[in-house]
Amino acid sequence: MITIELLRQTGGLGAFSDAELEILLGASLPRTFAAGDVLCRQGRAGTSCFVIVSGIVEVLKEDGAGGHRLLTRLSAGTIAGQLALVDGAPRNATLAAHTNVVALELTRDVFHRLVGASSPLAFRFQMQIAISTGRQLREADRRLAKVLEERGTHTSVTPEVAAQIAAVEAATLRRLQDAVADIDVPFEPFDIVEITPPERIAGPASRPA
Amino acid sequence: MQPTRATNMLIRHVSVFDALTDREVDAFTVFVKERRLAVGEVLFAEGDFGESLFVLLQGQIAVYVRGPGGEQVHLARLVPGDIIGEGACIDPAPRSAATVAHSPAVLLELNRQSLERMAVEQPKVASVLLGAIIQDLTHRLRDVDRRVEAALGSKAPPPVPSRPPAPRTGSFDRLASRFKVR
Repeated sequence: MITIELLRQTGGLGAFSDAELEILLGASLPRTFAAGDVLCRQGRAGTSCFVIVSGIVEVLKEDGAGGHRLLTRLSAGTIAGQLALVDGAPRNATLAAHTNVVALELTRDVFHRLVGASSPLAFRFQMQIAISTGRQLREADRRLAKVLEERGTHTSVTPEVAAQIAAVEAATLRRLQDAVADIDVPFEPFDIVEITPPERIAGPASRPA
Repeated sequence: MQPTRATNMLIRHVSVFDALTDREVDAFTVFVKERRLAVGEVLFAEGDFGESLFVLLQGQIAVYVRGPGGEQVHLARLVPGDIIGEGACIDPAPRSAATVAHSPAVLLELNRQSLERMAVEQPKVASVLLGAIIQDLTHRLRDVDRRVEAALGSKAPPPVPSRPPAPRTGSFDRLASRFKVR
């Protein structure tokens, strides 16, 4: 049973009001997956996407020889499997449950109605899709830079551009240092500073039950 | 990928302002600030703080990401019609890449507060913009994934892809003319 309270706990959906979560809940199918279950498969047409409510979902790229590489892991609050709904192309990767997973499944039709509307709910839903996709893109960019650098097959930056980027980075660092220096925190020593040893909180590990 | 699908994606991807009427394009301009860059000028560096996104009206912008070995790797080349830096705008985080003008560039800057205000005052414009951002992110994610696969499977240096300049739409021209871009 997926409730508004459970959706609230996912963290990623903080911008949604209760009324909006209610609509989202009403428009989607609650799904549960056991660890190892496949949510959707690479190369297939996309007919739905998922909002992960709890658990971890793995994004896997099939290598064509029966195996697969792990691209990333997605956690609660993330929208998964939306690419194929956005552009209509086949699934980019396989989604598999790494742990037990609870998710809301949104059909293509519901997805497009949510994205296509210009309501506050649609705006937040679009933001959520953009955030989920943007985070995956960030990771993909890192993977690409790593692969290209490791193989020495990348187009490198010209020295002039490298110097420009370095100058801006240095300026950012200076601004950051100035900002930190500007914060005037009065130092007031605590009267009593006592560090509680962990066993005083948890109890001795060897204590018999 | 079949060329027809790729072409469709491309057209959908670039025509950011296609779905807007002239009035809505004008409404969009209220929320943005114009930026001009000289050749070699850095729009933002990797790790920089910033919550603005940019719409490239004219010129070329190169995208660099620092590899784990510390080298600046040239990842992409952006052309007019492309949206830049939307990651940090919608999802506050340090910039994930450096962007440098490879030719004199004209951009429109939209910050996070303006985007939020736009969502309230001009919901359709905000929705169209976000739709374009989602298309853009989706397109780029697929593209990067393909390039990772290609790089893993071959030793040849892959070229940095550059999309052909966006087919000009009436709305884009209207926007460009408002900012005196040819």
